[in-house]
Amino acid sequence: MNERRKIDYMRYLTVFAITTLIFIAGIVIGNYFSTQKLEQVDYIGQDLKRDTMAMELQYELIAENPCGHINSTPLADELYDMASKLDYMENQLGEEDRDVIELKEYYSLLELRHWLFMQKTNKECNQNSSLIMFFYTNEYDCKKCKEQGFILTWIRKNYANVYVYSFDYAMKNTAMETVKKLFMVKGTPAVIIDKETYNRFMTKDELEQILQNNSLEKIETADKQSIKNAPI
Amino acid sequence: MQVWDFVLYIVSYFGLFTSVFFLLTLFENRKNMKDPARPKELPKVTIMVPACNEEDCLAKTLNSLLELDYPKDRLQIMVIDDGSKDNTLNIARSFEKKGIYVLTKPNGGKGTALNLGLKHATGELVGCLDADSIVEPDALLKMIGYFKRKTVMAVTPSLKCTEPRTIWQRIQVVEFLLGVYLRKVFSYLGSINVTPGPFTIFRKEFFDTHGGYDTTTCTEDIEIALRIQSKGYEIENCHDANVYAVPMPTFMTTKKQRVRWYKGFIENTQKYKEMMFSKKYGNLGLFVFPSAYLSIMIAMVMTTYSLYVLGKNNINRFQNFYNVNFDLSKMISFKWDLFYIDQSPIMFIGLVALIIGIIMVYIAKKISNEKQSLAYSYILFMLFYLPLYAYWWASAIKAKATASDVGWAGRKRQAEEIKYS
Repeated sequence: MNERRKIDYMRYLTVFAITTLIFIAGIVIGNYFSTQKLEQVDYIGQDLKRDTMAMELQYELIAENPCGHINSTPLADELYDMASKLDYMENQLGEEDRDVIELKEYYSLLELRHWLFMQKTNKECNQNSSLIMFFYTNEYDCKKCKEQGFILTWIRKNYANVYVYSFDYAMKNTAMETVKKLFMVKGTPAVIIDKETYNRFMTKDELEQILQNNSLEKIETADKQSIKNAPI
Repeated sequence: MQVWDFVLYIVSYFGLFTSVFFLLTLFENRKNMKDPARPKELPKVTIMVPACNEEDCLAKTLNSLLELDYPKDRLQIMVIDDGSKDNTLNIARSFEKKGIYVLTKPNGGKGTALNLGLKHATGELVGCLDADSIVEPDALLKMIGYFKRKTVMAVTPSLKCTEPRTIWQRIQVVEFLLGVYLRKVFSYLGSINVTPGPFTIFRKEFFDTHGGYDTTTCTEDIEIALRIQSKGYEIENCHDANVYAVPMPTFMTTKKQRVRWYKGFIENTQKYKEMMFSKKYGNLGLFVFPSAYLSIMIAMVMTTYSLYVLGKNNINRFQNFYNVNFDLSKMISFKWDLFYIDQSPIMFIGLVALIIGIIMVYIAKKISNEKQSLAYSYILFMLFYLPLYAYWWASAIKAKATASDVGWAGRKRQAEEIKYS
């Protein structure tokens, strides 16, 4: 047998050690960055909580004409940013990841808080924003949920006064359960537009029709809208 | 962790292990890379050029052989016309006055042409050069030194591509260069399993003792390599003896060639199946062959899965776009955020693999003195090679299963092996 055919077991062992080392290093570095990202999402959540509280307090403190000083658009943008990052982390780490689930719960509560505040300003400041709640599940049997999510994103980006709040139907907490009961949400996809519940998939045209019906009122309040959007 | 993630980690580990193994082998042998000194008395060498309808390139090939830096009285150059229907024979005859020996026979395939050539060969060493390949003048002289060891039965050159013109050729440039790297590594592992048609030089006594080219296979270069290995001899590699072949220019021609190669690989590994997992054949039996088959399976599984995911995502994407009447003007935004850069463990492992890949191409480029710029070709290779590789293999397996004819050398022949005598 020629010499080169001889199996150098030491070489195989060395390669095994090097490969395992690279592999472990990759896993450690990758996990470190994943943790960093989750912390970043957590920070956004903390910022959001602080800003929401600040805005609520500001609203209460300014006794005279509070509506003229309220601008909730940046907060909504922060919410969307957090949602987008959470969605990304969910895809990366999986729906079962405990950190992701915890952050999602926290995010849902922040959304609810923002939604409540928007309800209040809508009513008291005579604003005409459309508040849409959307219930989805990640489960395979809700194929239409992702489609509904895309349509609602399109609506949000094409209508300035629309705020979309997305909730995982499977999320278990008392606040969410109350919302589901209150608005009689029976499954997914489900869309609540200005307190009206639609327990089905809604097309873009249907949603636009509802928004356009509302927009008649919006035209009437167009001047106030520009005041609302003024920076604080 | 999902099942697919688990599979991906296993596949990555195997890929990384193989890459590190080859790199370490080369690193350990870095001091042995110099070509051995040539003997004082040069052996007589016969170079055979089998040609079938090669009127476009034969003259260039023969001129490159005439320019070989080797004593003319120690060199026999021979053209074997394999029943060409074009002007090939006339072109070959026009070289007779320059000392080139011309044979002609009815068409029967490359193996039969080479076997006829072997009957007329007068050299102690014999080689073949495909009629579409050209050889650098110093190639033969560099290879001769390797035959000092009596157990060496063949020496392979560095087979590279001529200047690429199409994207298919660019992909092949990198593929061939990786072949240069791997053949060198395999030579240190005693595991060379292909002796390329273009300019591999053999000891003629091997053919005298063990028979000529197998004319029943569509890849006689794999068969002869495995036959040499099966008899316990060595195959060496001369990394700086450069031979250039014209890479296939189109998708279909490339596919046809690869299907022939891969079908030949399947046939010949079946023929020499006793080598698989056999400790007797060392690294070749225990690592190189099994990992070759494993990498084929991995490529096919990964490509199938990737296509499934890609198809599914695109169907979903199309449905989403359709739902909003393709009004996407406000949906497209380019906001840079480092957050969305994938920094998962598998990406870091992939990054290491990518770096090793670049190192491999760099080493191949350096040891074979390649001058071409490869950045663009490498990007194309990284993007398209894996799915192409899987597709060629799937086609080859289908061709094998359906016993399809895979080209000029793949026609059905008599089953018995034609023995050279």
